[in-house]
Amino acid sequence: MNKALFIILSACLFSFLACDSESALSSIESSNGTSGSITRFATLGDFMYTLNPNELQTFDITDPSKPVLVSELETDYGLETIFIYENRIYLGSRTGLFILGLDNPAEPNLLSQTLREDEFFGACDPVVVKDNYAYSTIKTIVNVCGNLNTQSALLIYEVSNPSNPILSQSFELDIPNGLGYTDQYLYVCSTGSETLKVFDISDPTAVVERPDLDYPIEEPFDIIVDGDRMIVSSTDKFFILDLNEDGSIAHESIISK
Amino acid sequence: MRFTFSLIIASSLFLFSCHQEEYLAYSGMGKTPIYIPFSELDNIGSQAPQSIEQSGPIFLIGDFFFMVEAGKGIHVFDLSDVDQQNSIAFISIPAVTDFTIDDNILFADSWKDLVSIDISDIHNVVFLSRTTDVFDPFLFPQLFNGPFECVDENRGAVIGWEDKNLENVFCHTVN
Repeated sequence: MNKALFIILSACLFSFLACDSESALSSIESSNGTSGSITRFATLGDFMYTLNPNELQTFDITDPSKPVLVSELETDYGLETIFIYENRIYLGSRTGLFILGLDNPAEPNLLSQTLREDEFFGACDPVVVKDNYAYSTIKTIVNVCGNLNTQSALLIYEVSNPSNPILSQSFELDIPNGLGYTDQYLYVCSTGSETLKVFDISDPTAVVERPDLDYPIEEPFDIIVDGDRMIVSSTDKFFILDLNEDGSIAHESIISK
Repeated sequence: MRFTFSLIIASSLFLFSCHQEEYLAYSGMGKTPIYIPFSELDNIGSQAPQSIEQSGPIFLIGDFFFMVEAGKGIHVFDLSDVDQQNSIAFISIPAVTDFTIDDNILFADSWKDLVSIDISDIHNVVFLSRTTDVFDPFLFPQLFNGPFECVDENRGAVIGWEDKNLENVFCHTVN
């Protein structure tokens, strides 16, 4: 188990090698895009926010050829992912969920920080937010008398009061990683079970697992939901999936180069 | 005493770690950093596509899909043609681990620095700027539990780790 875990999670690792190519002409239209849930970089307006393990940094990117570091907010060690939603910054950390205000976008201020009893580990404990709810996946390893166990979960926080997030629901998961949502459904990479887990979030006060909609996928790592399609990254490839209105997932293309 | 303490920590919280600790000299299998000279950090530009080795952070703009290849750069795919969804370019960014894109500008880390790149023409991206010494890269192998050769920051930027038969190393990941 530990070995499998290690191999699977080494998706976070550095590595190398090169291959060959072919090419077509193209240029990028000016528009803002969508990040996966596992990232330490995000932009909003004239500012970019980045994470070091123990601080949030704010850059003024008005002139992209000369970004200027304008503020730093120190935190506990362990910041991992950033998600900006409706003028707030949500940070996934190995110690909890951070919520920051953007009343002054040049200098975000800390509104709240949840604390977990266990220290969760990993470089990939992301959070996404929709309406008044934050959906966060976490992983930890505990050692009970020499036996290592993983404890992983989806935690759902009610965040209508950003100074006081309240844990509303949690679901056990097997090594979750990235996640993304549509209006009605939340999709979570369950790397341990090699499944895309589906949750019905149409009523966020009563989120329901939908195992009937779960979709088997090899080593899912992170997700971008884009209208009626979803891109899922895996260790050395990615999948393009069609999303049906009933939440079910269909037709995949697999791309590795 | 110190030795015992390290061992207890190392074995109690196995696997991944976010710290490194000095350790009694160790010889045997472990990890060693892969360096590039600092002079190579500015080798930023469009290249021919490459295969994905180890997927990293991802980003989508319209039909353009970007994926980090840690330490090396960013793959670019055009997803507009369902039957031809191949990589169209690779943006070389030495020592990269993460990035974002805003209005045709790609911002990424490159070792301790922030770089900005104009990607309006994906086949001829333009390296705009390097803001030095703003990031704290991990100086230990991620998701690895065990001994490793301590990073010597004078030797260059670390772009990855490889297995090696180590002699008398003093670093060990702990949690």
